[in-house]
Amino acid sequence: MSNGALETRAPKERRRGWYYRLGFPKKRALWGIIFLLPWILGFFLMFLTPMIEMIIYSFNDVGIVATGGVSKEFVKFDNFHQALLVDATFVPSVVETLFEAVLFTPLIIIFSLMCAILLNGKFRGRAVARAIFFIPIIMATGLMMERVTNLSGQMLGEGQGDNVYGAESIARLVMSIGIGKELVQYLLDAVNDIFEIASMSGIQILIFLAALQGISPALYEVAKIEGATPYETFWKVTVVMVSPMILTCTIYTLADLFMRSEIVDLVYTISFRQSHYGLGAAMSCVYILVNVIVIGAAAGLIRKVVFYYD
Amino acid sequence: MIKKRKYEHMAKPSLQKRLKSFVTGAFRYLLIVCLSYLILAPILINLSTAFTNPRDLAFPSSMWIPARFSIENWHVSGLMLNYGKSLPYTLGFTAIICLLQTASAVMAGYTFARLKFPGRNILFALAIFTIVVPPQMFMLPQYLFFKEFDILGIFRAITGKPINLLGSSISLFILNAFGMGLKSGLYIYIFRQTFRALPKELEEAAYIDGAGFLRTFVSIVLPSAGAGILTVAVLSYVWSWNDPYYVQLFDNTNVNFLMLAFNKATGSVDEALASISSKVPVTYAFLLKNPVYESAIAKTAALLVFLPLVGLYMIVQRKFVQGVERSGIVG
Repeated sequence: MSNGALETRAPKERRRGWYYRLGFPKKRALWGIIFLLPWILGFFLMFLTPMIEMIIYSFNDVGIVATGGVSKEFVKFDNFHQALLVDATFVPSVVETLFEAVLFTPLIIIFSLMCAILLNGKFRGRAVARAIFFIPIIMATGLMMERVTNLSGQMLGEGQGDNVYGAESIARLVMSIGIGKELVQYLLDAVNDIFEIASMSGIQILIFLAALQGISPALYEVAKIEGATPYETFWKVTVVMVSPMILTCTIYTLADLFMRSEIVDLVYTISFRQSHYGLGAAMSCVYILVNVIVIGAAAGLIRKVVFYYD
Repeated sequence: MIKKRKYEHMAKPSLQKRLKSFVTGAFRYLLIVCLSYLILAPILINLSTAFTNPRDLAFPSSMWIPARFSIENWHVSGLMLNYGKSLPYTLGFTAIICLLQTASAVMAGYTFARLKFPGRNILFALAIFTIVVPPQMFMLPQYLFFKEFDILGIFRAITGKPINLLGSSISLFILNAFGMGLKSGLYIYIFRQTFRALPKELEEAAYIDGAGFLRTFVSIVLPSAGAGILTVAVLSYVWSWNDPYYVQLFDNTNVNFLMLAFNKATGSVDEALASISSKVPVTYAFLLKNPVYESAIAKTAALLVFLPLVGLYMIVQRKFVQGVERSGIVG
């Protein structure tokens, strides 16, 4: 009887297979590979391969063959020469994008940190305020509103498009008092920029808000007991504790700004409308390189001042 | 003497404090109101335009409050976007993309947070790299990839030629299911931070109680990361809804996708209106080709694209905001 039981159990153990004989860490490693498999496939097939192909295109004169596929003719650095030295729009656009990135990133970071601090405190109407402040996220970049504003600007002639906040009429009033036109124009631009900044800060506000919630109240208590002023507390506790998120937000903001640059449209026009695929690919290569260098440099710089609690 | 000083000491700061807290409170409200105005003004003014009777559009007096209310603009814009058909379609289409994208990001994020295997850190660095590179930069190779879709020559071996997936939504589904959709890198990062913030003991307890890996993942790990999942799902839904780029590139015949319909219609409001002119009420026919009217129609169309998201957002808003706080995006 007992013999029979042993016999039946033994084959059963064997039938359960190799997976059950794996150690715990190995099992998890196996599941890790399984879980990551879609991403790995996607990365190599739909990201890395296209990227390598693009690098190859950038050294070739590329044409689309009617029967399918592409024809390539090796032209060495001609495309890069064309993009960097001949083309009149590419280099200025890159410089402008970089300039905008340098200008806007700190503004967005400061603006979103400020908003997060505003929203973090306890006050009446906080739920409503939060709901409103996250609307830019669903407007996703305000792209659509921007388009509509531009569109009506085009349709109705210059200036009308800016009139969303009634800034124009105020500007006219101010000008009639006799303040210089340049100053007024500067202020008008600033108002429009604020909208742009607000519309790009949604995610950053979110991230900072989460970071502020995560700061241990004990730290503030200690600061209070030690007699720190609110000003000191802000700089020595709040800013220091959210500093890792400043790194994250900077990287995200830069990537976002680069993604929205006019260069993307330029490359699209050159490759698809004008069929200069090789030139478009060369521009993409240069642009990606610039992106990676700028973001890497920014990350490297900020990393030096970031404080990690653990 | 001593007593008096003590009282002074207690009374003065309290007044100062109250004044101070009043000033900071007022300042806070002022800032919040200003910023809210900044965010809401474009929406409100477009709303007002949308509800204005087409005849009153050019009146400056009806800038904020329409002189005569009318839903005529909504009607025409709705026709222009083919709203009755495109809205349900876009709701469903975006939901599928959101589901695929969130699922692939959850799995990748969990792996990067918890499941160690050799080479994982390099792969994570590559995942971060995908955030940094604008996807539009390799349009052509990706375009060709889907034009001649073939995995390791399997389809070529079976049917003799690769499959053309362009102009079909499957290409977008594939892109998202394999974690290469719009901003997938960011979602993977968010999930990694979320899972890293979860206490390891939860999973360990489940293992000790005899749950297998999948069971632990489905019934312990996923529910405890609910906040992070909600955050990513909302972001993914909203951004897919608003993104014309991928759909335009891979699936450009998809006229039922709202954002694409909107782009086409506002690309040339003239033509779009002409194509539905037979359905426009005769009384307003004289307004066709009028730029003010066309701009009002375009604004209303923008609202039609945008408002369903506001509706959805209002439903999940409270949970979303709380979720963000608890998701430990920060880690």
